[in-house]
Amino acid sequence: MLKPERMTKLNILGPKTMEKKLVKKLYDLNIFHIVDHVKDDQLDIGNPFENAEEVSDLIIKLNAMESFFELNKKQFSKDLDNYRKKGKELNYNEVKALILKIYNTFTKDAQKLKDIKNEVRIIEKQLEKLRILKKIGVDPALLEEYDSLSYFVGYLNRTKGVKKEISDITGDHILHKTIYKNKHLIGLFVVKDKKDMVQKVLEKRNFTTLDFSDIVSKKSLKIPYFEKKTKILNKEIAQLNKKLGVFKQSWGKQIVIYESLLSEEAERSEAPLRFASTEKTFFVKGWVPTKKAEKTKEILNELTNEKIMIQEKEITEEDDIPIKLRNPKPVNSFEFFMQLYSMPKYKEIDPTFFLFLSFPLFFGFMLGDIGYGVVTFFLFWFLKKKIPKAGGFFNILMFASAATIFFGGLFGEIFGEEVLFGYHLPHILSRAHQINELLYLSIAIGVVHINIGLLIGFYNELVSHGFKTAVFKKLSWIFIEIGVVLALFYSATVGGVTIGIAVLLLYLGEGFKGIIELPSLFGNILSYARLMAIGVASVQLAIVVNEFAKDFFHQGGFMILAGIFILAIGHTINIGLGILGPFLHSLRLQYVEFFTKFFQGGGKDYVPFGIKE
Amino acid sequence: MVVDMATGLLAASAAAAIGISAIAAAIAEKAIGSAAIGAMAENEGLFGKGLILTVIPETLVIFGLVIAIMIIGMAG
Repeated sequence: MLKPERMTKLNILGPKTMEKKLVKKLYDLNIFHIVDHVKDDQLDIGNPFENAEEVSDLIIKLNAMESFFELNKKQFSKDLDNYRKKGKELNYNEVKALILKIYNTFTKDAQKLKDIKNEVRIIEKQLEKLRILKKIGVDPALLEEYDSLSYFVGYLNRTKGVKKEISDITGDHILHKTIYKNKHLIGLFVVKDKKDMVQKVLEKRNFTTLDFSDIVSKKSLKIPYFEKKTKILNKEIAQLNKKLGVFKQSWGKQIVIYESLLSEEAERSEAPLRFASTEKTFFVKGWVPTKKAEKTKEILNELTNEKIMIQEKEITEEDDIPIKLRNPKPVNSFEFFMQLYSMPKYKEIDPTFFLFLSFPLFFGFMLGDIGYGVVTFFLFWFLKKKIPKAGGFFNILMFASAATIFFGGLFGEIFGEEVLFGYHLPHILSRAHQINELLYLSIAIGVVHINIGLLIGFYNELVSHGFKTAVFKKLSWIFIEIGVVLALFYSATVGGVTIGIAVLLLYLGEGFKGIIELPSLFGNILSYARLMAIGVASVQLAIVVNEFAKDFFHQGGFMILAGIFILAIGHTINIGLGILGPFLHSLRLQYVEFFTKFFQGGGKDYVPFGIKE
Repeated sequence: MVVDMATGLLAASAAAAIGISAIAAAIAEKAIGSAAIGAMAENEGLFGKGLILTVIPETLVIFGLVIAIMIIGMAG
């Protein structure tokens, strides 16, 4: 629990004839973490299996159909599972023939549909223009190039005064105006030499011109003809859609299943790219969890009639061992925080368990209110049901809410109230009144937390660098703390000497950097004062809301409603802040104050070769 | 509520202690935060480091808060 999963390094060497079989088995086992081979002077990387290109081509075809029909992979995940359960081998050639056949049918219909839709769009555009011209009473035949005449057809944002202004410029004009689709539509013919001046008048009213070039060439065509044609085309579209709908019904499931299976096939086909290879042999390095190593070797040997060589290798200092955290049920939700930060190194202690203990504790200490705890608990419970994907995250918050209820009990608070219907809730510490005690308690929690961190750090250093370094780098801090306590409560000389020796040890361990870091110990411990500060802020805000609402309740009548409204809004805001603040600050105390005492991190995730969930 | 001059000054200095330290922390975090977000846009794995660096100046407010509480303690 306190350390990442133990790993065993396996090297597999075998003839190429066994490669495909082995890759398939490794993929099914889903436990072998492949270390990619980097091409060097002696060994090149392998080549993908011969069907790799073809498989990717088929996948592209399937993807095209998936996106056209908007097929949802989740919808068919059960079918996929059932298919897998049957354990039927994928007959590659059969599947390939089938995919090519349905893809041909699909592309023909889909292309046809696309062409017809395009045609309809063009016709509808033209139809719209013909309707516009009809509305302002201009014959499409009139819209040609003239020697002495210019015309404007388009929209204005207002038509007031336009007639007069144009009349002032020239008497030789014809103006049609009307309202079309809530916009001012005009058709204007003027003599060509006044064109520029008229244009200026129109531009003042945001004139947008309409282009009729595409219908002028077809001026013989009339509205009824276009309307009839659209009708016919729309019927064709409906027919095609129906046909494609039937296609989707009959093939949708297969498309999704084959796409998933072929994607896996593609991943397998490309596996040799991660292997080292010679003309006749392949060589692959990787990791498996130690507890499964023996079994894996057995399975692989049996599969290949012991024609491959599997070697268990000693772990060396240079090895970048993949990290798989292993924590029992409720604790593993907190692995989320490790993923967010960084995976521990192989030899390091995995702090997930400490997060499980202290994160909800800090959160609860800050929010600490029975009412708020119950509300947030059910809120996160509901969200977990809604978004099962983020279940681990909401588990963390539910733990935090439970801790909030617990501390609410200690502080005797429900929605910021200590007295409910004349009954004074029992409490061990009142946050609204005993701020100093709360501060001391917060600092005390900080001292404990930081020292746990230092002790873990001591262990980490002991394992990786030996006892002396561990004492110099980590225990020296604890000696400094002891020195300070002695100086304050026992005798200044004894304390001073202890501090002096401890600082010297620290200097030997960390060098001058350690001396510079000295004040940070003070800062880190004081930082836990935020446990008190955020808690008090949360309580005070709740009290303000309650007092404000009480004033309204005392006025009676309609004001009671207003009071309830204030309570609802005020507490909602406070709960919102009460989730955000304690969450971030609790996390910060872990990451900044706690982790810096021992955590190195930078471990690489364990990603087994196989089906990804 | 009537308070005497000394208590008023103590209250004002407690407010100043926390207020000014909060402003100072905010200015520092502003610069670090935007740089951290920039780094995270390049590499999401830097969230942990970014968060740590961003919140380092927060300690200033905590110091301010402790001083404020001590000052209020003087007022009795």
